[in-house]
Amino acid sequence: MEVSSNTSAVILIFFTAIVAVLGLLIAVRPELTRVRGGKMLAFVGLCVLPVLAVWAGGNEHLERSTSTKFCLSCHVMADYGKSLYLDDKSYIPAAHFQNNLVPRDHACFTCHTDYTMFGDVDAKWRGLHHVYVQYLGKIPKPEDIKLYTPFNNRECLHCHSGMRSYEESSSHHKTPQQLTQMANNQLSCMSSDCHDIVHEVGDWGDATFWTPKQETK
Amino acid sequence: MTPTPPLIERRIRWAGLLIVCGLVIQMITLIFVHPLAFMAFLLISCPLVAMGILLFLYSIVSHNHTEIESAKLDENAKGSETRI
Repeated sequence: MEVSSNTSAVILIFFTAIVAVLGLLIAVRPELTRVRGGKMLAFVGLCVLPVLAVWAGGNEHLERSTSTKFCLSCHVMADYGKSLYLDDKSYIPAAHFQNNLVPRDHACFTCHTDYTMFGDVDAKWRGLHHVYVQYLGKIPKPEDIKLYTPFNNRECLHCHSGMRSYEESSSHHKTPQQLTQMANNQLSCMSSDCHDIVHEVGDWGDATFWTPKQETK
Repeated sequence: MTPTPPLIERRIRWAGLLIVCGLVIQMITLIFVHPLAFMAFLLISCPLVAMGILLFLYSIVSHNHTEIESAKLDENAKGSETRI
């Protein structure tokens, strides 16, 4: 298991510990609540602060669940993580990851969430299903994992829409209606013989991998 | 022999213990970046803290009710004594 080392997590653990100590004090000495000050302390220690602590903890966990290392913590996803380092720019995820076109710490989530009102909720719901399959269901082979629905252009256009290189590219003007068709998801970016090389797990042959250089200051 | 604490204090004690257990589990889950840590937070920590908070709030509400009722009973008893 990956251990968290970010500052916000350390602060949150410290805050939770303080709230727990306060809760323990009231649990051990409930007679403190006989006086007015004790009643206020109990209300803050057993109601206000625990709500804050759990809300902050939930936020932290939700934020973590969008991280690349969280997605790749299941063994079956290891090859998908490896595909981000393929030394071949025709692989869409590798090209995006290696050129910082998606944030590397949130690479999976950036492309695989739905950019709709409840897209994040849907992504979390799918994530819960993945956890169920991982621990209680039958784990498929990595190459057998498929998307639930065909990849929606909306997710690509969340970043690419309005980009000069996207709108002026000759390959996006083969027909006059092409940009409109892509915007309406009538012509898929990925399954129209254009950008159709994605993770392709199990089909790499003797592929080589990119090794990022250590950042120097 | 120690006297039994009042009902409200026993409930507050249980509420405190539930909240402390939930928060301790939350602290442990915050150490790890893993789906199981997230699930433990969601399925164990959150319900424990929620139960503790609800029990605390219930203890306050139910205590006020019993206090008011007993005060009314006392008043009634005093009233009947003076009539006699």
